[in-house]
Amino acid sequence: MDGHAITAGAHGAHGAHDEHHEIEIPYTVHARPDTGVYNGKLGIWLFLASEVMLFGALFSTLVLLRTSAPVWPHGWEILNIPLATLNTFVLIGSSVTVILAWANLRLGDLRKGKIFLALTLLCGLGFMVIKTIEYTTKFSHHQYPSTNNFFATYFVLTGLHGLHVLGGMVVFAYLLMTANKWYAEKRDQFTNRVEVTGLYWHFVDLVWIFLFPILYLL
Amino acid sequence: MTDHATHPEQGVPNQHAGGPPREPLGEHEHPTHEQHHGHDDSPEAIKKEIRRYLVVFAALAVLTIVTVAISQFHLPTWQAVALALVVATVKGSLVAAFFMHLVSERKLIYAVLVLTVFFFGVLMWGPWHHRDNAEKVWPGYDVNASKPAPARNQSPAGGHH
Repeated sequence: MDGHAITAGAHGAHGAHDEHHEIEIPYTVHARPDTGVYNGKLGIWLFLASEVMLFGALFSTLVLLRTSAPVWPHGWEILNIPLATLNTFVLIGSSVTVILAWANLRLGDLRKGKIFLALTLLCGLGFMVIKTIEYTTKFSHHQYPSTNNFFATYFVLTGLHGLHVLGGMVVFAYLLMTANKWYAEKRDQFTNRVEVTGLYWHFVDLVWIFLFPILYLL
Repeated sequence: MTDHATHPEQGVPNQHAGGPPREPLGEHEHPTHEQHHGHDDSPEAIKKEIRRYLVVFAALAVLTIVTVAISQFHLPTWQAVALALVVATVKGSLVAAFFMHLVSERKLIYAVLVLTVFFFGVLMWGPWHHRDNAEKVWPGYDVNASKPAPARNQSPAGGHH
């Protein structure tokens, strides 16, 4: 049970590398009474709060640079809107697939859950491929972060966002590889992991929803 | 949705992080569907949820087309910014409300979010304040500057045509 897991952990340091059968991490499935949520969910929301500040600082910088610049190019003059629009659909689609993976795991359908996890991973890959095409085109036109403030903000914001997509892909790959084992042994905990990863993934989608118009359409 | 009233211990300050709760909970206070708060785990309910996610997806797709279409009109800067931000905010709210299921979440998560929104506001207030200030400090400073200034050694963009 959740409560006893702590005592087990206190003199179970030797088992740190051991199987999770010995040391149970508390409140991975049930809500912790004082927070009302399982620990993973509170953890991811606190992490996302810090992410908002990370991207917020960069957005704030963009506003400062743009409003004080005597001249600022329109995104639609230099950036590839069709590709970015396609990427928007890819990312929104992946938000749906990850939530469908979660829903199917809750329905007890591991096979479908894995299919949707794999689709999410594929969407992430598709996004990165399209992003790479965009970047290489920019580089071939000698447009680098050092070119001007517009490209500096463009590359920093989309680059950081791309890193988040990559990070999500790593987690999805891990979830897929360990799905069978986790689902058989600790179904609810695995389902929660997918939910929490999904929360992160939706946040990455949300950042793109703002990045897309701000950088490309204005 | 779980009734919040069944959690009288919610307001108890956290004095034992990770430890067992001071007031032991009866099993009746831990309904089994509690593990996914706000989500009824019956197959019918989940299937209904899935339909809702697909509707949200359709709405997001339509709004993406709308925002791209609006940008084709090349409206004056501030109108374009306002419209784009309104559409993006609606899309973002849909994602947050339904995909991140904030429509039914715990008070603590809302509290974390309120703090986050506040500090995000502080971050955005910075450049806004600067903008107002710039008008006072530099007479003739045009906050709506969108036309190229004549004397400027930095070219706007490599691909500017």
